[in-house]
Amino acid sequence: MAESLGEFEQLVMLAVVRLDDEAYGTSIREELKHRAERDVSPGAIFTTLERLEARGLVTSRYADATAERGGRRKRFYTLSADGRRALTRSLEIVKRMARGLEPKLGRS
Amino acid sequence: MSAPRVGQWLLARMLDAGSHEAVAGDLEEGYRRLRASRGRIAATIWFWQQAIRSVIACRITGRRRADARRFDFEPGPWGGLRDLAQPAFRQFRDRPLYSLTIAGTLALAVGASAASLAVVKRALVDPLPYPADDELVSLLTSVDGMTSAVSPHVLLDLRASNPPLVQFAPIRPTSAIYTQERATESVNVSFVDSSYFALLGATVASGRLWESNEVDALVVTARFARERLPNGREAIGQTMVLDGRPRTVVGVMRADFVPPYFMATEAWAPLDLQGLLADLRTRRTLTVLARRAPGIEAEQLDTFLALFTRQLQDRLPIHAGQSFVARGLRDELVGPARSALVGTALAAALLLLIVAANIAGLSTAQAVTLRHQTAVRAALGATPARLLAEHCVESAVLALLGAVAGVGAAYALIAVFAPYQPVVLARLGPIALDGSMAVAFGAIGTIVGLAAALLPRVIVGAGRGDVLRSARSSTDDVTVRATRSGLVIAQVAIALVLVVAAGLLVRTIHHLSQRNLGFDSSGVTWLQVTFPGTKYQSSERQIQAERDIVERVRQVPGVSSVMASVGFPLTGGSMAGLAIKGETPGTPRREIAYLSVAPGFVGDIRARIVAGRDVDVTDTLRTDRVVVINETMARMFWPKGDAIGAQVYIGPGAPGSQWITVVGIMADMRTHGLTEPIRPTAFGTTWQYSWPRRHIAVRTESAASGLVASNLKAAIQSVDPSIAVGAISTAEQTLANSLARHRLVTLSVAVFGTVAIVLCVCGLYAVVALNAQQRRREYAIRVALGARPGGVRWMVVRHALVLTGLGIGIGVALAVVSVRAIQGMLHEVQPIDGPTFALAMCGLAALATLAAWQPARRAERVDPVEVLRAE
Repeated sequence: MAESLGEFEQLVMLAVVRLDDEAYGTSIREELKHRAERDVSPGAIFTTLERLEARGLVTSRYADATAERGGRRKRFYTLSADGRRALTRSLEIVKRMARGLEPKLGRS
Repeated sequence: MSAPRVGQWLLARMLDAGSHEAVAGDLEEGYRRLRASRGRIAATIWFWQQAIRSVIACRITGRRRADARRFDFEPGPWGGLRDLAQPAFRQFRDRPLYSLTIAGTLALAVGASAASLAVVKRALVDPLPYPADDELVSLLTSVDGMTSAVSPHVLLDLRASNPPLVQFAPIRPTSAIYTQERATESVNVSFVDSSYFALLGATVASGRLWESNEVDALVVTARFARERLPNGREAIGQTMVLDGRPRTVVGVMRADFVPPYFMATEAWAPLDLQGLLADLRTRRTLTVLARRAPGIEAEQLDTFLALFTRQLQDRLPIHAGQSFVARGLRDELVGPARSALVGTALAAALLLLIVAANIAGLSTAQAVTLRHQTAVRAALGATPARLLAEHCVESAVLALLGAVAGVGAAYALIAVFAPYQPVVLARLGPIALDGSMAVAFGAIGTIVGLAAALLPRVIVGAGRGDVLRSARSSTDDVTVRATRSGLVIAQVAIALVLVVAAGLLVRTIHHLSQRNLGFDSSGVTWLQVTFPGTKYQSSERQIQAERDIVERVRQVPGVSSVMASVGFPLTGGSMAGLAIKGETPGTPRREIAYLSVAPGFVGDIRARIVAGRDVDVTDTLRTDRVVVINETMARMFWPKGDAIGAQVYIGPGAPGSQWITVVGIMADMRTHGLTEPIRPTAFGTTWQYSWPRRHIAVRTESAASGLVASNLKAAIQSVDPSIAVGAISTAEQTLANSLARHRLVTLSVAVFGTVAIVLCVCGLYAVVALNAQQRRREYAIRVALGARPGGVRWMVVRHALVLTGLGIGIGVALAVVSVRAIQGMLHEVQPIDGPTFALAMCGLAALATLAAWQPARRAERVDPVEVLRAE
């Protein structure tokens, strides 16, 4: 059985997919801010990614250190195959649950 | 341009390396971008906001990677050991009250048990400091159940009768006058023959023991040689004048030799047994030690002595009423303290039990509290064996700590006890906790503590870490409730036993200290004086010296009255045989106590004549001899009330023409101390029966006693410097000493009892409060259905009372059996004393109600709406 994902985990993973090779802490944070209108702390994003990595849903690699980051390295994330499957399934479930509900939701 | 330094520094400390690189990097990047676009202030505010939220996210709401390690288990021996040891020491930080209570109460109980066992071991187990001590017996004359010394004639008869005894050591203690150039002192001399040293394994430190033909030799104690001889280092060869007879010091006794009798002995001189035989057969002057022949049991010796007694009585009717008995030396030395020792040791053992129960109760509660955490850890992969191992190490650390502290406490308790030892167990070596006992008690304490802490956890099942069970409200578990209730019942039962024992002892002390002495002891100080024999041979001289001393001492400032006597109340008198004129011939001689008092003594000591008259100045050597007797003696020998005018003979030998007339009856005085029964006692006058010694007692105004003591000796020796003056005693101190053993035991049992009550009330409170908490919903429904708050309160209190009642029931049964151990210490109180039992039971019930009061109040204030909504 594929793993279920939390709402915030889905958002973070979607951001990683959208950003392709440019997915690291700051870019993910800005993506969430612009698209999901969520102002999230770097710590929250980091721990979520750590958790996802521990579950084998994302992988990471370090780039070279940059002055912009005070001499620290960027850590880029990509979805693993498992991650893609889990995310797809998770979104599928939301879609299935929401199917045909638009008129009702629109009324409220 | 870079982010605030302080913030960066804090981040580095609060995040582990992995999170720090990512989070701090993002924060730095964000800060620079924002600063470029919106300025420094906005960027700084943003930085701090995000930094704080990140730390919270990383350390609290998310989980830092390093924390996760607590729930994994690193392979490798050292990593595993560290993981086990860490929680064991962390418990002192996380649960200080729990850890310290367990270690502290265990220390207290182990300390008390180890200290009292050390005393018991010394008194009843350790060998006495004499060779083959089990074979040593003391030979005694027994009359009406009271034992006393042996007549030299009887000793020779016994020796001649081929007894199953191999060595005899007769001892004759006296107080001799030691005449020096400047002063006269009295010296405690024991006259013994050389078998005394062989029997007790006593050897000299310097010099030698005397040869059989040296009648004037002397062996002195090392202390006497050091302090009382003019030139301590050259004691050997010195000549001392004792009772007017020069004697030569031939040896100095080993410093560690403690004589079994007459501990105050300062010198030993050869006993002239043949000389003593000139005395009457009925005069019992010798204390006799002997050794049982090899292979002879105590019972065989008893049988022999019974036979010897019968044969002697057949041959010499003067011994009718007497029997000759042997008593083991240890029984002689320890006898009266035995029940005190056993009682204290039992109380300490009970304390250890109650502490074990308390630890078990605490541990059960702790297991329940930790159940959820345990379950989570089990879910994260900790094996049951692993969890159990952790509990073991945690409990072992507490138990070991408690036990080691307990052994330390035992050493402290023994140090506190040391000053009491001379009055309780004088003749034994100093009480000490030796290495093997310390280790043994450390081990016992650790095992008891470990078992008490571990067993409930196993029973309650904390080690199983069942997530489903812990997810439910974990406390409504029948096993937990039953375990804790059982432990509380046990605690109440043990506490009741201790409280009853303490109550009985306190009542005994109260009775003893309230006992009417029959005279007024307030402000009374006395000492003994000895008249040198050569100068004061005649009774006239002795009586005149007594009158001079009384006259002189009366002048001492602060002295309100002076009393002279031979023998003094509280120190007892001598024992003497009694014959009554007109009694049927062949009636066995009876034993009474005898004191001689100077005219006016009875009034000055504030005793009371209840019939007839007191002895007075008209009773002299030239008039008929008279005595006053006490009420006990009058009742015992003249039950018809016709004592006054009766003719009696008091003393050794057969009554001749010297009949003595009973002229008065005195109200009973406690002449033998507070704890001894009142004996039939006769009081003659020193003006008719004089000995070359006197007790001189003074009554002083309260503040002046210290001053008087120093002036007293000077006043006496101003009459004649050759009169020897002994040590000063006060009535207050003598009375306190006679109660010291009772006080010591009462104090320890009372302390143990108090600790027991405190632990028991705490345990009861915890159980009742837990139970009330669990039943909140039930109470809420009852209140919602119209139950009065009082009804709810009663339900909680009833729970406490039911537990206490069960404990009291078991405790009463235990107490009835176990108070027999202290029966020997009780005076005027029965072991099954209704008031004491009732008070202890009511007291415990009242404390139970008190313990339940707060939980009951909380239960009755339960708000049905709130509780039921929470459901």
